[in-house]
Amino acid sequence: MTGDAARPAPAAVVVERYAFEYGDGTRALRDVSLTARAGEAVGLLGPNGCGKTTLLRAIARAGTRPVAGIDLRAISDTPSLVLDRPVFQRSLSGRANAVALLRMRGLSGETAAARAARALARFGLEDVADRPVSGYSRGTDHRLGLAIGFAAEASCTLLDEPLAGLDPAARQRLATEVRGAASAGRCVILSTHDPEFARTACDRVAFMADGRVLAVDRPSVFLDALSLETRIEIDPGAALEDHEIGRVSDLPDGVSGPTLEETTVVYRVADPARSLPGLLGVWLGAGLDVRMLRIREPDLRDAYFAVTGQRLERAGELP
Amino acid sequence: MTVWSLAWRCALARRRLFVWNVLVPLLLLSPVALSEAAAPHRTAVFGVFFVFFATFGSAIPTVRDASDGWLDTVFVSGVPGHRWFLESWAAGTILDLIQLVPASWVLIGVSTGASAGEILRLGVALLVAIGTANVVGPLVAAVVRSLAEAALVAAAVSLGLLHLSGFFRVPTGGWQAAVAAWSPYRPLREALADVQAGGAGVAGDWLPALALAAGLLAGAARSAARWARRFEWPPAG
Repeated sequence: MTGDAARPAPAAVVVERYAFEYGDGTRALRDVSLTARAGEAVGLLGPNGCGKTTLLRAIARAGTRPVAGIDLRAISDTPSLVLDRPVFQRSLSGRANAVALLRMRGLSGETAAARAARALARFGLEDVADRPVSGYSRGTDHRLGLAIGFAAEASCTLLDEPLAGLDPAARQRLATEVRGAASAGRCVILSTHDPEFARTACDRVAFMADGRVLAVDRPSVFLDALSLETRIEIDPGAALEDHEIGRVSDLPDGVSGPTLEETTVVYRVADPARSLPGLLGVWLGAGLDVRMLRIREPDLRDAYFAVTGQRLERAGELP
Repeated sequence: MTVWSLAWRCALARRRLFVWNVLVPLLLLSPVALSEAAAPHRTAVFGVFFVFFATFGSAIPTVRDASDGWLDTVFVSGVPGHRWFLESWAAGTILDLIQLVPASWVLIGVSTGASAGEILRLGVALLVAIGTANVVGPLVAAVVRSLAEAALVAAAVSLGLLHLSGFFRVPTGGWQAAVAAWSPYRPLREALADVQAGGAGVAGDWLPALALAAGLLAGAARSAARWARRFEWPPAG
């Protein structure tokens, strides 16, 4: 009996060396391999155009017909896909859309109506549920898509940029839903540009770039294994010229950098307690001001840059 | 029957559009019905309008629903292509019929000699023609890439089929007569002519045309899983 806890959950989605090329010859995905288990949330992180959406849509498609390289045989129902711009029949109400889309998944009218009502309430849509979708804001549209996606209670829920247009309360609701679905034994795969959300909502994250999955593991494993450095961020109060930053020379041992992120000057240190006094001394000695100083422990954003090798300046979409 | 009921709910939710779809045929065809135009000319105008109405009315929404991603949403929800096609075909055909009946009644009203049998035959012929046009529309949508292309191809295909059905010149023999005999739009031409001729009875044998109409519907439904992939994302290429 003790083996049950250690036994890994069965794989719900198995993507094995999947490749996809558009009609114009653009290779969107190359040799992508990824496994998502029942009861697990997997986050896809990567720059725009790296293939996250294509991968999610391909997995969704594999739920309706065989797709070479994607095996969904372990799940009996169709994956539930929520796009970053969900599409509805805009002349109908949110509730009518929800019930119709749930019925298309084979639910009875009664079950669909009950599940839709519960999900609409969870996402705070009761007040607008019976109004035509044509009057919804983008954020409300998106919450409706998420409500329908989770109301399906599919074995596999696929969320494409689920944070798009969501306010903080809805983000929190989403994280709760993702964790709830995973706890209920369902599998969730989501794409996001928010490493912090991925860290809190997902069991594992996959870093993608150029149509490939570069690495997949638990967030804590990435942070431990990559020996990432702590960032010391100094805001001098005004934009500095290169020659002014250049005055900060003879950096203490263990300090590397700097890089300029807008007006903030960033140094990387292995041991902030040891390096900070020396760095600050050099900085002030160069006649520069400090309006704000922040020490930031490495997080998934740093892991992302480390894994993908992407330079910060090119990764504008990551917060 | 989710696709079917959704099509009805959408049509009824857009009341203004629904009313326009009744009024426009009525306003455009009534002057023709009430005019002194020769019966073959009136037949051609009514036939072209009915077939265009149903072909455009099924092709253009299909292209729009495909391009905005709605059809992909439907398909990834697990609705198979043939079910989407058959349910949307049935809803579209009946909605078109309802919207075209008032204009048809104007023609029947001015044709004082039309018998109940001829009116019934016109109803059947209209159903066959509209049903066929609702098959042609989605097939046209599956080969085009934009609304403009859909309009162009739907017009060209419909005019060709109407011509082969003898709407513009009734074939008296040869291969054109043989083709017309099988055309699903031919019963409409003959029924429109019958109604106006006041029981002169020019209708021929409709069985080949009905058989071909049924065959087209069955073939399109059977192969929908393949051709409806054009409406999916990622595009079939």
